[in-house]
Amino acid sequence: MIRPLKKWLVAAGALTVPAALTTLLLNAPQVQSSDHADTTENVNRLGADMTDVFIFPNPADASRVVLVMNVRGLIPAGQAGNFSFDPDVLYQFKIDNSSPLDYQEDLVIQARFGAAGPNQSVEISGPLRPADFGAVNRQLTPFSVTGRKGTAFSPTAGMQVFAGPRKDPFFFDLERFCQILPDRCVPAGLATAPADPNQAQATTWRAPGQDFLANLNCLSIVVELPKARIARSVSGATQLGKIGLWGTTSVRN
Amino acid sequence: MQSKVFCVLTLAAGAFSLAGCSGNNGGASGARFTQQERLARPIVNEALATFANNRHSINNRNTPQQDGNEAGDPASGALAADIEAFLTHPQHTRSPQIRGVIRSVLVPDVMIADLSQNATTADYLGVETNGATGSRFGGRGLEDDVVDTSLSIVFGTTVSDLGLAPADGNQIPTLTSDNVGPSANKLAPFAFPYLANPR
Repeated sequence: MIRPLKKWLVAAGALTVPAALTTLLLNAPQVQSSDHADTTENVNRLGADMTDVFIFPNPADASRVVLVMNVRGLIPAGQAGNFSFDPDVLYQFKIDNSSPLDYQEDLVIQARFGAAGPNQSVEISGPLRPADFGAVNRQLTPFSVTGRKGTAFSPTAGMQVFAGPRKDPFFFDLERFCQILPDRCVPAGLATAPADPNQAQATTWRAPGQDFLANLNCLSIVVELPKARIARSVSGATQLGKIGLWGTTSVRN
Repeated sequence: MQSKVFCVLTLAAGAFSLAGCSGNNGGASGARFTQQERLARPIVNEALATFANNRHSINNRNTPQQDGNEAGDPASGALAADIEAFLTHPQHTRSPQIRGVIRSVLVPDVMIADLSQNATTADYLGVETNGATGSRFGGRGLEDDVVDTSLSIVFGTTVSDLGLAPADGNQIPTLTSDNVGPSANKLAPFAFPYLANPR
């Protein structure tokens, strides 16, 4: 079980299917093509393959909050500079700040990117009420201040943004996971589909486990802003309360 | 001024993209993007929904409101049904009470954070467990061991230990930890952007 299965999949291949790993890790330097994906679509479009979402307070300032979306995992050590975000993908943090939560986005923060390359441009929109709800969306007008991949910038007062390669913070024994539930590792071609997809093929982890992500990188979108910017507003007054957060990657039609 | 002129000219030419106009006013470009992936809590879709029958892909394309867990029919909805199927598998079945708690925590698949908390740390499932996992801010920190937390809920005794349902005796202790923790060389820096430099 475990999270964005994606990484593990391909990663697991590193130990069991060297040829497949080589293809997945080294043969897609500029987005689209393979992936350590959890689905066939993500295997075919690495730039849309989201591996993790985080939300945590600024450790030195509780009035500010940090949102992180990681995509395009399994970038080998020493090669992070060769990878870019997918220009045809809309990356979104979706935020439900209704009371009680209704699990529909009230605000979105969007990121889009220019042509792949070392100076790839970064556009940020939001947090704003989306133009469309649900699974088909449009890009909202971005801030006029844009950034560059790998360099922190402030698109608007109070907001900091970084988008670029980072060490993948996730830790997990992917190889063993694929042995326990091989069905989840089928999309990347790293396991054979079992007759019963929910049947565990092993019932023990190994000790010690092996962190498959230890030397792998990903592309991160990090947005820090005041909590009040994503909280609900009632009659103009900010009400800090519970929010729901999820990330989406959407491909241009 | 130059960008405003460009913006006006762009609109006059019938183009829809407003990138470059002063911005962030809520206007939308004409291009449409279709959701390919959705992610919030780390364990849910990736581990409990099968690749078989395209379950994982379907959940990726759904919205949280389609995950299910409607009142009166808690196992309905796409993701809720996947979780129910996993937790009723004869090899690792859990009691109806424990299944109900797990579904109520994990469905819909949305990360919950409490902005009212004056906390400087996050802890995965902190809101849902009323602080049992740590900070009541909830959310997810970079070093949270979400794998072990999730494994312990699904295969262990976390739900009964918290008093949320009676123990069912069906735990599988050998599956409750992958025995991997956040390594020192991945510790996040204290300052923005918090994630470590790439290798």
